[in-house]
Amino acid sequence: MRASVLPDARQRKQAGRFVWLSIDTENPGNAAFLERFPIATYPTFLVVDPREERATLKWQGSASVEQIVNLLADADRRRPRGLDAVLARADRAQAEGRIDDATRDYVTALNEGGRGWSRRPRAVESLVLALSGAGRLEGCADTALREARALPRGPSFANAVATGLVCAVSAPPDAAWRPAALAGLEPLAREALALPGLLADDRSGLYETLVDTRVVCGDRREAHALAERWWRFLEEDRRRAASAELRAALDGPRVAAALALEDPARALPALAASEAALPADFNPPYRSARLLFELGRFEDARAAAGRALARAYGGRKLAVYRLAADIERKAGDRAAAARVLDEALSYAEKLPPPQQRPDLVASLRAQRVALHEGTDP
Amino acid sequence: MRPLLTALALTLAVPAAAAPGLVEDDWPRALALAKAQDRLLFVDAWAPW
Repeated sequence: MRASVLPDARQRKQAGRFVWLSIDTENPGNAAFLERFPIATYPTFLVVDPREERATLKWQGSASVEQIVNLLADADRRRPRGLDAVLARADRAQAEGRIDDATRDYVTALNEGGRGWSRRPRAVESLVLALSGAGRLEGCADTALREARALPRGPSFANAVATGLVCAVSAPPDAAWRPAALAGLEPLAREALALPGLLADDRSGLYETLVDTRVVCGDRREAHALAERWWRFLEEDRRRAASAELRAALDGPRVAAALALEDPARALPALAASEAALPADFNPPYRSARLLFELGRFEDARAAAGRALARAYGGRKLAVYRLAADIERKAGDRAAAARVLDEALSYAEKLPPPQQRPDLVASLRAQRVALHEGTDP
Repeated sequence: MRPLLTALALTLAVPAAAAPGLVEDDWPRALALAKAQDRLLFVDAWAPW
């Protein structure tokens, strides 16, 4: 999005009414911002009122140029009235993490707005995203299932359906509501996949969720067939991309698709090209290390992880350390694995609090203890 | 404080019709600019994926 959507959105008329701020959440210099506005999903877009220094709108995940322009228009209504006021209240509650208040106001707006309300698609999408972000999986899937069918087919429909289906896939397998949600949302997600004009990122996300859906339904054959279609889409997108940044933008899904196909090697050439074109970016060698590890090519994986560690910074570097330790352990060098984990834990202590990753640090610490006690797998 | 804000506004102000510049990794500067220009802030919070 940083390479395509946002530069376009900044050219639109509404953009000039805002001050645009880009925050690299891994940059230690942004700790003060992150203390005030914790970020858990990437990307996250915030509209902040500078007088109160509070967020009035929070959008988690990708968005098209048109969606961003509409968000700007919504946020710029200084004295909203009627349904606009209810939607603005819901947005603010969601931005401040008051999910019960946000849910109530989004539902009120949807009920009062009726089926013909022009901003219904955006309101449905916001409600589903809010429920998903709060981990309310049943509400998220149920809302998507109930509301999406009647939406006009476009980006909001696709995003609501995809998010609802992710919620259903992520639910515990014994959740009583899950089978009906999967059965109802999967055909809608397939319908979304066929829509023209979706962001490549969103289309790739739909493929991934549909693959995951077939996996949790025990249908490996169809999962594999879908993953092949996903791979072909990614290759076509890469072929059309006009810059190295755009070619690398879907490297993450490329790795996921190769792993879903149980063919890690097929993504290695694209990652090598990304690494050559973007030498400061830790992601291409990190992703290569992951695939080389899966292939059992530990020497090559170790070298790639080393290159990634030399470039990584912030909390995300801890994930690179974890992979580097896994490589050493699988390669049979327990002393090297211990050294990597010690270095990782020392690095974690120096990170500013908002950039520390408590779950990741706990996992690294548990691995270090297991290595010490000889109980690691 | 006001002279500083005014100076910032004069240095960084963009016409409403033009594409706005991008403040990168500088929350205090962006906040001061937004206050000086009476504009909302649009923030893209990202991570290197």
